[in-house]
Amino acid sequence: MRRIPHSSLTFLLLILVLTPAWGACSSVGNAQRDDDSAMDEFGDFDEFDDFGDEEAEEVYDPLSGFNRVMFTFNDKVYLWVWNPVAKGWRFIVPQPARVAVDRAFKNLLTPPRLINSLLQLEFGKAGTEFGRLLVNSTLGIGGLFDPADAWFGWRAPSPEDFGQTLATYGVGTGFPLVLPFLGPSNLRDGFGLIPDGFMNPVFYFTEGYEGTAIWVGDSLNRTSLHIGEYESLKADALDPYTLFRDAYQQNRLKKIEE
Amino acid sequence: MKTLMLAALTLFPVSGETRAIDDSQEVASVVRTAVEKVITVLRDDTLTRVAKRESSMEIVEPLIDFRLLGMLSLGKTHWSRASESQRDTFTDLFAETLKLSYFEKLELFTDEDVEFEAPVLQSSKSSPKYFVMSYIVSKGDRIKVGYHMTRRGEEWKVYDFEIEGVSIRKSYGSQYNDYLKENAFDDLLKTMREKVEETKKRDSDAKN
Repeated sequence: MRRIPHSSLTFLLLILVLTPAWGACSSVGNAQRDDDSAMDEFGDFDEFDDFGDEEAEEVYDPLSGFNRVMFTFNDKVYLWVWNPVAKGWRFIVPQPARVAVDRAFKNLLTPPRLINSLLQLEFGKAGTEFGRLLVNSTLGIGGLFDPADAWFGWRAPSPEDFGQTLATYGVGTGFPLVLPFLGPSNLRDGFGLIPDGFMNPVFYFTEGYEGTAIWVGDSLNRTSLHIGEYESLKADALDPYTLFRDAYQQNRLKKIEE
Repeated sequence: MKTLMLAALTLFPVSGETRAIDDSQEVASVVRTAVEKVITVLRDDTLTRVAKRESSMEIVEPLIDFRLLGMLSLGKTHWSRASESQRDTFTDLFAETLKLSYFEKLELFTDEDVEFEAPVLQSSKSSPKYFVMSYIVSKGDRIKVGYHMTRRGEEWKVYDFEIEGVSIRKSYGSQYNDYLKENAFDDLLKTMREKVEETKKRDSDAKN
């Protein structure tokens, strides 16, 4: 759910890249300098030793053809449909109300975060999630407000999901995968959406398209809080597809660490 | 007495540990001061949008070592192959790109609070390197923004920063490296220049 590239600042800002990749020999036509051994006047080569030159390996991206098509599809869906609708919602509803709605959705989606914290043996985090759920559902009026943080200092922990659980148990990313509507992901995290779906209370209390409708509402509301971010990030890219792909990867590594 | 103390100071240089603590405090205050100044500027409703940009850039610009960040992004292989004038052009364009991109994003944040964690010493190989994590509290979210700082001469400078774990150095670096697999260095410079012009144009369109 939180995988939509345009829906959370997290993702939007994430738009940068992991794993630069370059072969031993690269571009043609560069001015040649025979200074591999010689020091240049700024001692730049020392700097590379000092700061670490992260020669990154090539990203294994066997589905890049499919992924690029899907990326373009999502991009158009976002720019032509999602963004205009979210802007309309932003126009109608004042920001504090939209922030409250966003909090309520997050509160509703506590179970997958809680269960995944437990699966990762992060008991402290699980406890915080549980406490927050109790306090915010009651005192916070169904999660619209966050007294757990404001009064008790129980700050929302970094959210866990099944992809991260798999990573904790040593499962690798597989390869990059762009999901329709959901945006950049990888084989592991994409698969993780299925168990996360079964942990989602919405799945058990809705019928037919209601669940999808709730998801769309949540995503649109969140997008309305982050208008302009996707475009701004995309504008920085020489190649938006790889930028988002690598940024997703870097962001996930950070989350798995936490 | 004074001379004696002075002599003692010269003879017994401050221990490494003490220096690390001093450094850590200095880094913390450099980052915090700059960020707080920028927030004050952004909140000042008497300033126009352009004035806000200019003042906040004046605060931020001297803190960033663009040449180092650009160089580290590009990586040893490409940096060593570039001529000195190509490096200079690259550094200028890189700085311009970052500044424009920063400005644009700056406007997405207006009424936020920022919290800081204590600097963490990462390595002191040749030059000391610290990482300062901060959280921008925005619309119910806490956005993680981290600053990599190192000492350059007398001053502490930012040589990389990351948002939600996504580092500028890695991200831009990977973009440049991918591009350079297929294209010459001068093509990269040309494309960077075009991007900068595009952003400027979009920006001035947005203003009007």
